[in-house]
Amino acid sequence: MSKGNGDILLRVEELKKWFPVKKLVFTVGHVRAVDGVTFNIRRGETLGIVGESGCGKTTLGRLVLKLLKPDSGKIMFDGIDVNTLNGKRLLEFRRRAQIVFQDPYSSLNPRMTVLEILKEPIETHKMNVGSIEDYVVDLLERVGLRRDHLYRYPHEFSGGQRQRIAIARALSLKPEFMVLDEPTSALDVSVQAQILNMLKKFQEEERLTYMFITHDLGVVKYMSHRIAVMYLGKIVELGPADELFEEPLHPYTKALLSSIPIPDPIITRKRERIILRGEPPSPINLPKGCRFHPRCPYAMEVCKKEEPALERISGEHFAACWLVSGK
Amino acid sequence: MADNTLLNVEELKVYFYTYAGVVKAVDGVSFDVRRGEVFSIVGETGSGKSVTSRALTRLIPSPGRIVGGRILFEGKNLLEMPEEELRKIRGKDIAYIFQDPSSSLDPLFTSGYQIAETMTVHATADWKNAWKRVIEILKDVAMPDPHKRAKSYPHELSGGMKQRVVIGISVSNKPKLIIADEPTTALDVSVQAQILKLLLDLRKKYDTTVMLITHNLGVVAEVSDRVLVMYAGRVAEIADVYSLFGEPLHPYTIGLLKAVPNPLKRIERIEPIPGSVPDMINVPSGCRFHPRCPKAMDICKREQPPLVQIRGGRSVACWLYAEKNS
Repeated sequence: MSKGNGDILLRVEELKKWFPVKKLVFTVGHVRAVDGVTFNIRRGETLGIVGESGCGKTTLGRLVLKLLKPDSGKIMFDGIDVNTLNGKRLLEFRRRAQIVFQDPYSSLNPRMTVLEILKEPIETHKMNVGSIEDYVVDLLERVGLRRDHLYRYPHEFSGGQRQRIAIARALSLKPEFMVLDEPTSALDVSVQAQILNMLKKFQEEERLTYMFITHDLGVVKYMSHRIAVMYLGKIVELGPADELFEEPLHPYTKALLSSIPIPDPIITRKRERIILRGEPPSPINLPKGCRFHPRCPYAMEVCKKEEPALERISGEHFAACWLVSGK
Repeated sequence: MADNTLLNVEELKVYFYTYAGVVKAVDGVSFDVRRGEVFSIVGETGSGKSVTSRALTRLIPSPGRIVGGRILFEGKNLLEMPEEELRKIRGKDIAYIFQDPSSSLDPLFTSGYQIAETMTVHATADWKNAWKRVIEILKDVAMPDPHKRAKSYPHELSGGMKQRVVIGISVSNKPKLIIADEPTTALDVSVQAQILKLLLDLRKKYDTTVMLITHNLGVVAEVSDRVLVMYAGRVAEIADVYSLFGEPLHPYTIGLLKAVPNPLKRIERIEPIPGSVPDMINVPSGCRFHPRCPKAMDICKREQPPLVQIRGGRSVACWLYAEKNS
């Protein structure tokens, strides 16, 4: 199901972001939110990033858009080094790469009308769109809203409608790349399906490239061509969506897949279960060796000592685990 | 059948009198909960599932009011009971587990104290015996290192451990009914699986009944015996879990099941339900689902469908099925 022809839009290499933990004025440790992450996204593709809370998936999304400054590592967007961008060229990058946030209640300014919200990016970027109002109405209609919504304020809309406005705002600048950070997790299932299908439609129409961040495995499978599974700041497995779900390699992915409740009572009660012990450790005091080893049902001696690297196992399927890479 | 019924709710109505108008959050809901089962109420935001669960022990804050109905718990009507008497049932015979364990626990007391307190308040144990029971209970809820954790304050515990303490409090008095309102929503998937398994284990061990309130159809499929689907303050349908997922009857249930992406199946396209949940002050006339229903008929716009019993102990509130039976 993989799309694109090797035309890579975004390349991320060894990206790191550590947040200092301070006591008074002293730094007593670091939260290793993103700790050496490498991947790329092809043009027209959706890369799903999935993981539990605190695994660094949101930080990764912000780093890629230069909303946060990385401590080290490289981000290449269409051949341009994002870290060195400034001035006019940064502005151009900001137009080409957009974001939709999780919570449409805090991502829209409550004092601005829909027209003002959608007009602002167009004016900031001095886009040549002819009549701004016609352009905005057109945008609204594309996301399933109407002209008479133009002069309303965000509080007059439901959660699903607000998320539509946020998507219209992101689309207004004709971007090539969008980071979708849990865009439907604040919405009800019936509305979630509307938004997901709409995002898919826009991707097909405009060959948009998505980085889709979520903790919902059903949603990530439905949306993505390839999926990266994160655990405590690292990618532990990366592969084509169907392959990753049918033949997961990493014990963490296996455990995640076997522990999510499936909306089918026959399947969900019959399947084999790997219930993980404990909870993810604090990203301040990471375990030595493989970060997953204290919870891993297959942990070996080597896992306690050395950290496994993300290696190609077959075709496009990568995993960071001593069990599959062999040592 | 009658002995088997632990809880019987009839025509429950809970209205909230706000400045904007009357919100009919729960508007004529009837169901039975049988002893020993896991009975789930599933619905989207604003469906009234949480309000229903709280109304069972009259935990409805102003401006809300229970305006009608009957709640029979072991034959006694909880709605007519004096508050004093109800307090003896709440936390003892009927225990609650809420979504956010951080706000269910008092930050100033240790987890052990809070479990022991529940037992002493209801006089099921004196302080000395309660303290002894605390360790047993913490072992029952699979708390790692129970002796140490009994002395921990809530902020020293992780989200999963806090929820274990809350579950410990709820089972401490050996309740007949545990009402769990979105008990795993605030937790990560890997921890969610642990907590669900724990609830099922405890139901057997303590010989109790569980009423689960959730919006997650996966969780419903996983643990329920019978399921009530709620929409806009009313019952859409009630069925055993296998029939509900295998052959959903109400168009809302059918739509809901088609809208959730199943991670274990290859799906080309999920089908959304058009529109959104209604504004609860101006609810649609007739069947509340009719503006979003693909099968809506004329009668659906005019008259509210009754909840009718059909084969296999199922009931459904939809004119598609009501006609055939009348």
